[in-house]
Amino acid sequence: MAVTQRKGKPAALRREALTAYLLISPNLIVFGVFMLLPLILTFVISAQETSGLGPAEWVGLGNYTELISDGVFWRSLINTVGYAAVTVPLGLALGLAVAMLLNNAVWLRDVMRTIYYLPVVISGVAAGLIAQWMFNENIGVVNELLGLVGLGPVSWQSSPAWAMTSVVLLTLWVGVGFNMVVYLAALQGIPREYYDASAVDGANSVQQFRHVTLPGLGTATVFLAIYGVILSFQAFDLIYILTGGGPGSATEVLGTYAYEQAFSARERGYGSAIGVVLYLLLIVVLSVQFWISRRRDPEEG
Amino acid sequence: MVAVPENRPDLSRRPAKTRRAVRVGRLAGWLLVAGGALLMAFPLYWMLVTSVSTTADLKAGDYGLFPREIVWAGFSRVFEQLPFFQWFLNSVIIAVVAVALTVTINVVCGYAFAKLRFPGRRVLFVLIVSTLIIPVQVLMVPQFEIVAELGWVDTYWGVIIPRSAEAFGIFFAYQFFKGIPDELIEAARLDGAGELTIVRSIVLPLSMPLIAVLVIFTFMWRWNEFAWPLIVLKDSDAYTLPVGLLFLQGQYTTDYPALMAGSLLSVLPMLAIFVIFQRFFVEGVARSGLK
Amino acid sequence: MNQLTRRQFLAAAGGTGAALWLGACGGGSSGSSDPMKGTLEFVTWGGPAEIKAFEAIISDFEDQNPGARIRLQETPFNEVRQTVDSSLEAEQGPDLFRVTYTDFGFYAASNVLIDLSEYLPSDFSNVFTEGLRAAVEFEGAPYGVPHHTDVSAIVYNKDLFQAAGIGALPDRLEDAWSWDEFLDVSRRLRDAQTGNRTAFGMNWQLAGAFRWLNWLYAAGGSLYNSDATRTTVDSPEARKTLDMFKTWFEEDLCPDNTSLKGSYVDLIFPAQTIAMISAGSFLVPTLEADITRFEYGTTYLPQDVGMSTDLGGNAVVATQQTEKPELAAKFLEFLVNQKNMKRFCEATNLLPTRNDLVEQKLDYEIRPDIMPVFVDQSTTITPAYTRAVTVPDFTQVNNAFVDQLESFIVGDQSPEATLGNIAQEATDVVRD
Repeated sequence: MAVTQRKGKPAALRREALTAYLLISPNLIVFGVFMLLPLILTFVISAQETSGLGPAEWVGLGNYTELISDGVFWRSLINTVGYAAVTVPLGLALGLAVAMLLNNAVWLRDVMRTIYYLPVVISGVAAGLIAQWMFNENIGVVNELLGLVGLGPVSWQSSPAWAMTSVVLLTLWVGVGFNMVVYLAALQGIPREYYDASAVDGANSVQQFRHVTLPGLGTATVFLAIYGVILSFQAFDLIYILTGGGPGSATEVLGTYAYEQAFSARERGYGSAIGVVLYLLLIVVLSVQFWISRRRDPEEG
Repeated sequence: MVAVPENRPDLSRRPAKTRRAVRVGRLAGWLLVAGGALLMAFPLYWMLVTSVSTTADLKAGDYGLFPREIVWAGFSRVFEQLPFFQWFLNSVIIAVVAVALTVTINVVCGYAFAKLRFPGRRVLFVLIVSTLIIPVQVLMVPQFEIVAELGWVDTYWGVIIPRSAEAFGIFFAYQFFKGIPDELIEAARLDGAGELTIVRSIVLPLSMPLIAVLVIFTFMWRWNEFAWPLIVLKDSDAYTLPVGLLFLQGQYTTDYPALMAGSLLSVLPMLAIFVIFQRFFVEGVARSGLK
Repeated sequence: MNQLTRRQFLAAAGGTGAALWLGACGGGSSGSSDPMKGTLEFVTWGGPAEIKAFEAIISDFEDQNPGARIRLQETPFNEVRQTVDSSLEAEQGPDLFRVTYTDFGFYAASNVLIDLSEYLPSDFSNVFTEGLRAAVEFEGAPYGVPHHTDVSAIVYNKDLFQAAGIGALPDRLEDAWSWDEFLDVSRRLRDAQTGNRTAFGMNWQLAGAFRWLNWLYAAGGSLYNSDATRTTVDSPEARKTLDMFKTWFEEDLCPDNTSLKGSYVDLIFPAQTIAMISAGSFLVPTLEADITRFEYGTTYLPQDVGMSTDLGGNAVVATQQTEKPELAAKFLEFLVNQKNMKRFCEATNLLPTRNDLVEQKLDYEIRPDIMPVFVDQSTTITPAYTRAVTVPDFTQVNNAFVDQLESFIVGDQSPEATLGNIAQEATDVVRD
């Protein structure tokens, strides 16, 4: 590290350290009060039974043992993992496909790139509201359009599987543009000579994709996969607005279930316990992801 | 726009048959991506069409892909029935103040971690950046209790301060400053400049591209944020736009034109900012993914 | 809003600055030291008709009480519980808020509400019907005013009934169908239908799950004993009720997707795929707007050894965090006086809670012809039923209804296990 090679007199070093503490102190205070302290408190509250009003009762691991026999909790947990397992790879694949198609100097490229990226800047609430209206199974435009080509009507709201499908479609709509831009930048970082060299070797475009393009996208893919998993575990706005977790608990994820328990069902402790599980689960999944990406690509990290 | 070097292989070295195949393939690819763009744009188009339709037509399922007549009543209902202007104002104030505060403290913090020597640097950095992964649902109960204890419920501070130590911003600033040669700062030190003078006269002018990207992203996050303001803001006069939009989902029935008009008005500023500053968005995203 | 001047803009921005930076505005009454002057904050939700009716009453109150102001704080229904709880927790609670009867018990038990008997004449609550008086009592004291109620009755599609050759429907409460007659009518409706139409839809989805008690209480069963200290749900009457539900779904009298986690039946009814539904009168304005292609009418919920319906509707309560309890109590008294309750109900298709209005015919603004059925039906609510559905934490019992009845109807859970699990949760909630 460059910093450690520098030399300085003790007084200058002390001054430098003091400056550093001064510069990081606003962040450290906010971080301590609104991140670290709440993180510790979450564990404490998760061992209580409290409605927020009135006294809290200490229940130890009671909330956690209750989770084990809570069908909705397991359903939310499976949904959370399934949602990530479906939306992350699909989002990556679609983002990459669009990026590859837009990487060449095609007609209207900038306009199309803008269009693909627009949903990224829209609030989750607005996106959820649009989708809720479009997927309305009685009078929504999606079923109208499907009807025009002789399909449907699809029970977007009352069928568990279709409701989940609508959530996935909305998530892709919101997320593909981001993946596309990252992949576009990564594609442009692959030196053109690699393609020329492989063309000289007689590689066809499929072979070029496998041996030149994909390896060149490794870093971007790892980043997007990790970022995508974090985002999908944090999912709240889109689902809360589009389906509210329904029908039944078909689209309930840990994020929405924790909120509902803590703030709607007045089970602050139980909601916190769900939050703790969500956090630990995310850490496990991310660790596995890191481990896989390191093993495949030892020089990175 | 960022200058784009072209990666496509040199066609002149290929036989004519392959060249035709490539051309057909490229046309198919274009049609595919253009079709996708239509799909991507459709929800926004539909939001616009709905906002200028009438409730009666929509409820009866009696509508086409193009509006038969344009009715602006949905927009006026948004303003007549709701304190929409107040919400807009709240959103602007929160986003602007949050940007000023957040970007300032994150940039100097990122600089300190990247360029200054001090005990505990590595541990603190890892600790701060690791908060990037904590979902808001994990912290919301105690965070709310702390904000309530401080008397910040229903205030701008309650929304702004807890989100001002943005781990992503710090990480991003850190990456940026790592890329700046130490020599610049060392030279200033040798000239006898104080540490804070260095920050003010050398570091800040250098970090304009960084600041531009952080400003735009922080603004977007604060403008669109939903879960946290939903928890902190109780008084409907204190709502931000995303929270206020919930009002438009009616009690027993929904006024779709007004709902879509309100949604459209709430996303327009962000869409405009994106189109104008597209370069920074794209650069920011590209950088975040590649370093 | 269109002609917003710069001055108005600055005023708005300035007001925002003072209040939203310092946190001075949230909750709590304010103003002079005179106990009858100042501003009260009133948190409510409501459709446009309800909000308009509230505003008219508030405006009259302010005219009659110079110096008093009521600030109506509208909140989306889905967020209202979260909003009120959190602001109470932050000691910034509203002075007044609207609350469902089934949620009342929680706030009363959390010791955040005002005992109105300290501020109002001791007999003020005698004007309310017995059942609803009980709904806002906690340990014998009145902690709110029953503002209105709404109950379920049967709403039916006249065209589909005609097509099935079903002519006369019960038009007096005592003539309501027996369960057997109800099943008979349902089967005839089913057999006369074409396509995927069905006979009946029950309005017990999610928060409405407790409406299954309408059938349990009609069968002579109960959820709790008369003072709500011990559950009595595991009974032959309850098993008979569950049998009835099983019959609906096994014989295709109900659409499969109208179980407890299914679709709201009032949203399906306008599409003419269900011949009749159980529905609350508060839905009448919406149904009237959404139904254009057929005629609909109302009749009573079926009776067995007894009759019952569900306790819908809302109370209004005052919190201990108000600084003007006398003024808050006075407003509550004003809100439910004869004239104001009458005009509120007439504008919103809700039912009154005062004895002197229950006996009187109200001039409903929308579909006055079908309202008498709901009014008559509301008299079948008993105090014992009311105590049962207003125990603190009834929300948890209701959640158990959703899960257990869903498992019974959609899954293959036995009646014994279903009632056992419900009894377990019902016991947990009332044990000390």
